[in-house]
Amino acid sequence: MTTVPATAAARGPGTWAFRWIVRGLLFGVAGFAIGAAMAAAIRTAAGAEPWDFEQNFTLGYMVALPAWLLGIGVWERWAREWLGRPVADAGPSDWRRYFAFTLDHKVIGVQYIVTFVALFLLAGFLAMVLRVHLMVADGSVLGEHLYNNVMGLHGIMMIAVAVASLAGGFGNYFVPLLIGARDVAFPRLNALSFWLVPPVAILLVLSLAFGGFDSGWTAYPPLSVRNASGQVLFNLAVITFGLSSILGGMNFLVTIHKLRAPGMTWGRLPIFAWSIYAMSWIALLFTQFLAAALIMVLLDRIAGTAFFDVSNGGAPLLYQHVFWFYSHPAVYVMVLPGFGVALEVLTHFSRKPLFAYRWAVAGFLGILGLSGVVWAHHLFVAGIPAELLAPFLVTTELISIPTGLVMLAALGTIWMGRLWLRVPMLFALGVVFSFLIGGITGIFLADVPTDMALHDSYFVVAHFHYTIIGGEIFALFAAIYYWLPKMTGRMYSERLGQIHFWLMFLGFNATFLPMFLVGFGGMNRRVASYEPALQDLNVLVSVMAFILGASFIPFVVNMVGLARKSAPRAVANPWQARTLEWQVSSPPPLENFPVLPVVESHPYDYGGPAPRHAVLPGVEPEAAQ
Amino acid sequence: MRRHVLAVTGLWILLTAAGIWLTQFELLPPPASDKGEDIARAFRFLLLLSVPVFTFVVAVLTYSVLRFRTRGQPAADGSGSGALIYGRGAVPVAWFSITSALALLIMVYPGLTELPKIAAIEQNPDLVVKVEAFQWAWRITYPDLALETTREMVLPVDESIRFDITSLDVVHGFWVPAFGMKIDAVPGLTTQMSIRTTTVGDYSSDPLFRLQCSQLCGGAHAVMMLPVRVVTRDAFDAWVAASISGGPTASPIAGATQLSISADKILFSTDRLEAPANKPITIAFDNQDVGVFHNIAVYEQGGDLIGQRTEVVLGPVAQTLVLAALSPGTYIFKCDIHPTTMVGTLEIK
Repeated sequence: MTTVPATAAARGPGTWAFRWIVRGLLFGVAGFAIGAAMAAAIRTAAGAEPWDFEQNFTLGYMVALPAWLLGIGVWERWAREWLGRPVADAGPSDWRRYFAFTLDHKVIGVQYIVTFVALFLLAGFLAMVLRVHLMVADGSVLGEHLYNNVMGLHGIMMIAVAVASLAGGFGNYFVPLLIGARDVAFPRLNALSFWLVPPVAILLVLSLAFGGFDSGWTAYPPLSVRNASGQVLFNLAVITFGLSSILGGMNFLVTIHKLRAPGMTWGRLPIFAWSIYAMSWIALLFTQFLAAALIMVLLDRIAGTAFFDVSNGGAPLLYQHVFWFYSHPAVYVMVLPGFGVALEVLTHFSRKPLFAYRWAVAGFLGILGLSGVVWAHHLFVAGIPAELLAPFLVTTELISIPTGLVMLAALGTIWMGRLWLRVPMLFALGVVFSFLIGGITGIFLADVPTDMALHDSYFVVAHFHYTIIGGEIFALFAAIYYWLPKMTGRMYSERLGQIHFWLMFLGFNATFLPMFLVGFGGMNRRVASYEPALQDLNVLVSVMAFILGASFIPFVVNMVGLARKSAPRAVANPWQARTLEWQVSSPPPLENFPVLPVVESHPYDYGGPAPRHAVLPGVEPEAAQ
Repeated sequence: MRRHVLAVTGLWILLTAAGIWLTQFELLPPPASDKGEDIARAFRFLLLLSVPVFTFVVAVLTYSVLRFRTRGQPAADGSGSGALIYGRGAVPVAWFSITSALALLIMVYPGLTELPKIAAIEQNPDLVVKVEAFQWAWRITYPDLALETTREMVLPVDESIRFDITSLDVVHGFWVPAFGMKIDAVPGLTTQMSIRTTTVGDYSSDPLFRLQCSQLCGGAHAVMMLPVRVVTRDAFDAWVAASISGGPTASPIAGATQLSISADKILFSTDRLEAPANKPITIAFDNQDVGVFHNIAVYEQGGDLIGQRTEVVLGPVAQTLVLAALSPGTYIFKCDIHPTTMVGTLEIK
């Protein structure tokens, strides 16, 4: 490849790979010290003890975060220009660019994917710990406090994975390629979004050293106002992550609106790009409500506000409304890109046009529209006024209509197709089956009477694992197996991939189907101990969960195997797919396309009259191989 | 095409029949309240509705995977593609209409029809039960009977009961699985739930008869549980009579000196207690501080703990500290959480 810019030599080959991260950390620590000292000075001036952990830490972090970004290089170019220093913008261009601040959307995509797959495996390991704990009924393995903390950590880490792995990772890498663009609209902002993630991880791990957070990922006050100080770190982490999500969503919107190649009309936009588009509106519009809710909790703790303190006129229910005003739409931030990947893979591997493409797009936009008016179904038993129950029951059931359109597109696409059952296709079919169960069990939770019985029970746990693992995680692995040859230029082992799929699919269903029964049996969620009568079922669930966990061993082996020198090379278009990313080399060149492509027809017209989706003017199709 | 449609329809009907047959096995445990029965009815309706929806998708998936699979790699020239169906015609319109009708007319039906009954609050119930949740226990008060207990909740069968629920600290959840319903206990708010008990039951033989906190409330959330007994009216009256005559409260240790002290606004009610030597002592400690952790413990002058300390828990809560007989002298009692401000002397003479 001829993608190495001249600046690489200027950096010199001896540059240490982690120097930018180390500089960021040093700046961050220095910033923290300055912020904490400022807080101490203010407190002293006010006549108080200089050290109050939560106040000093919060102010310290508020300085540490921009200092970390400064150190990692977000404002390097501006700072150098401002100070009259020579501007060296490109950063490293060899493998070290994966550990540095770079502008290439493909590098940032890989950074997201590797970070969040690693986070997924770690949070999955925590799930194994939880299942070991739950094999005995009395909660003696971890004890209550540790169990609550591990459970909260598993929850928030998996939420982060589900929000950012597909959208941040594959959205970043492939949306520009799919729409025929050279990069996203704001590359610098894109990198900033990614580099906001490491502080989130550091805070969450660090929170365990300060008592952790035993209020779960939902952080309901007043509990979250009066528990250990780890809660402050949790709030700061999630607020930071939300900022990353908002900026990422804004970037995708502008990119898809402004940077589509000539001929890439809205009616020809690949379905994955459509799903990212709908997802981005939700991320942009709603994430701020999560930040608002968590900031109110934070202020109650460090500034003495009383948003949720009843004795001073506060209202604990206020939090639940504001929190779910984001956190229900967040479900669609997770699963919309999953739907997009699933439909994308289904159509390529069925060798058929995507069935009812426009209706599927309408489904995405319908989900986007309805996502903001269903939040109170999380509050059916929270003590909200009874008049609110019926309207939210209806809006929640309504959302099954656009979701049904996505289902129609999936089923219509495989119907009468020529199904090529390679690993990505298996995972895409897994999305359809698993999300189906997630959707149908959702009907029972949208219905107020049945929800009153099932709310906060293991039925809910099983339900949302079916929607999120079904709608996002299966799609994540479909995306990994589908696009990995393109990203790495190498081909993984099909056999290991199939073993991964079948172990994961069977282990997943064998884990979560019995979990519905655990819920019917009256086991409430988030408990470290439970009634001994339910122990047999829980042991079954745990053993099956270990099979689910073991399914990721062949995955890791497969991925590590790609690093071998002897790993088979991938051709430019191993799946004979029509979309644009497959018309360039594997991996794609730095500038994505040697010339800007011209889009001629619909991306999925397999067997249709148009022979191709797009052309690269002046470039022979063979050259891409 | 027609052959495939007929085949998949047959498969769908077959799977649906199997699914309907399976619904004879009860998933929800038998309800012990009238509203539990309403909920079970709504559940059954939705279950029957979801069977054909589920089997339709499974039939199409299974049939397609088995019937339309190919082994070969697709050709680069586009030959060997599947059927050229775009889905722009009547199929999506029909699908949209059917799913809309399902959602708007049928799926909402059990909810909207049962909801007025489920949410109704009885203004003149046979029994009012006041429930106070706090980390991590329940206080049950029967206002009409001037009776209060933290050990179990006893209810008469075949009577209408209204629970007036609140929390003294964080959000908790009031859930008796046998009754089918739950509602959160929210600080600063009284939430209500009305049911009519329909069957007798006892936690010792059926774990569904328990008052379980259903909303994560920190530390000991999992064990924030109170046994529930639903008994006949006669048994209930007998229990009330026995309780009022001093049943449930801890019987004092024979011959012990009884002291009492309370905590309010992070201060003890006194900084000096007195007791005779060579007799056991019980200190009744009434922590009245809502939402504040306290306990009480007695130390030697040198700092060694005497006996046990009471557990550190959030107020309001009543605790009893039992001490063996002490020799004459001056001892220190304090709250381990506030050792500098909540401290006093225990004189043994």
